[in-house]
Amino acid sequence: MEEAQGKRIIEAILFVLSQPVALKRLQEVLEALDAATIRRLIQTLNDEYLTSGRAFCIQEVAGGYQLVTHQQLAPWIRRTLQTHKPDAVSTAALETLAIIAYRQPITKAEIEAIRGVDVTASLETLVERRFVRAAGRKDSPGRPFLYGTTTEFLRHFGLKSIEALPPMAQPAIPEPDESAVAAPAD
Amino acid sequence: MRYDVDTDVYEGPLPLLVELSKQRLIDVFLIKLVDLTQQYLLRIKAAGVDINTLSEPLPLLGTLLALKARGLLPEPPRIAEDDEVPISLEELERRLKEYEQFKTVAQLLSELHALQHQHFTRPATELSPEEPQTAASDVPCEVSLTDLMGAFSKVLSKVTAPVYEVREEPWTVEMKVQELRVLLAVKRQLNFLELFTIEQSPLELVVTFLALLELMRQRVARAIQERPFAEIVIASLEQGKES
Repeated sequence: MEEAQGKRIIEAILFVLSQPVALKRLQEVLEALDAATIRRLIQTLNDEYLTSGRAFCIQEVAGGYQLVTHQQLAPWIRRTLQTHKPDAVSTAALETLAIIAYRQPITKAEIEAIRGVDVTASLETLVERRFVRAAGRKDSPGRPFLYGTTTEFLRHFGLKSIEALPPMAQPAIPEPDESAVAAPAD
Repeated sequence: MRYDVDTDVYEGPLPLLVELSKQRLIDVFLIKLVDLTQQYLLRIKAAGVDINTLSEPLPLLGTLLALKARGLLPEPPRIAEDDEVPISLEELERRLKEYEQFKTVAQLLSELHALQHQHFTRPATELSPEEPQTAASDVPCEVSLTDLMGAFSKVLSKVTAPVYEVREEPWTVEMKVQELRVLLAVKRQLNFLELFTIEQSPLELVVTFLALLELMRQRVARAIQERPFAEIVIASLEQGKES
C-alpha cells in the first residue's frame, strides 16, 4: 500500500471514530503497514496539521489516537455546544483518585490510611464517573476490593498510559501545547 | 481550598483543629459546634452554591461532632492487645509528607483534567443520543442546580400540611427514585411542578426533590427549559442508555 493512501485512511478512521483508536486496531485495518510506519504517518499528519494551522490534531491518549480540536478553540466550541465547564472533580475525590492512580491496586482501607478520612463517598463518585473500578480482591482477611484506574480516567486526564502520570517526587506539569500534539514514543 | 474557623480556643484552618482534637491536644469540649455551624452557614450564604467548596468542610465538622459525641459516652474497657501503637514522630511526619505529596499530585490531576477538557472530539454517535444539533435559538437550555433549588423553595413555601412528629420514614429516596424512573419511562417528560402537590408533607417533598437530583446525577433525567423563564421540564435521558 502506498504510504500516502495509508495516511489518508488513518485520517479517515480517526475522523469517524470519536474514541481513541489503538495502534493495534489501525494495524489490523491497514494490514500492509507495520506499527512503526503507522506511527510515523500519524506524526506526519500531525506535522501537516500544525504547519497548515488546522483546527485539530491527533492526540495520543488512553492507549490510542484520537482527533481532537485545538485547545485555543475551546471557547467557541463551548459556545456552540452550549456547554459550560466540564463537571469538575472535587478536591476530596481528586485526592482519592491520585492515591489510587499511583498506588493501584489498592484497597479502600489503604486509601483511608493515607487520607486519614473515610473515602466511601469520593470512591463512589469516582466509580460512578468510571475513573476507577474494582479491579480484583486482595488476598487478606475479608478479601477487600482492590481499586484501579480505567481507560476512561486516562481519556479524561489526557494521559497516554498510566506510566505517563507526572512523577510523584517532583511533579511537573507538561507543557500544555506540547501535550496537545501527539508525539508517539518510539 | 483553605477553610478557617474562629473559636474561643482556636483560630486557624479547620483540618488542623480536627487533627489536634483527634490527638487530644485540644479539648473538643471547649469548642462550640454552634459557632462553627453558624460560621459555616454564613459562608454558604455569602458564597452561593458551589457544591465542591461547600462540601469540603462537612466531613471535618462531622468528625468534630463524632469526637464530641464519643467523648460523652463512657469509655469502653480497654483491651490491651488492640491498643493502637503510639505513632512515633518520624512516622507521623512520614505520613504527613506522603499525604502532602498526594495533595500536590491531586492538584496536578485537576489541571490535567481541565486541560484535557479544552479538547473536543466528535460526539460519540451511537453512545450519546443526547443533544441533537438544532439551531441554537430553540435548543432547550440546561437548568442549573441553583435554579432548581430556587424552584423547589417556592414549592416548599406553599406547603400547607402541618409538620407532624416523625415516626418512621414513610418515603425513602430509593423509593422515590424508583417511582420517578417509572413515571419518566412512561411519560418521557413532565413538568417540574407536577412532581409536587401541596398536600404532600414537607418531608415527602424533600425526598422527592432529592430523588430528582439523584436521577439527574445518574444522568437518567435532566432538567431543561424551552426558553428563559419557561416552566422547568424534567426529561428522560433513559433511551439508548440501556443498550
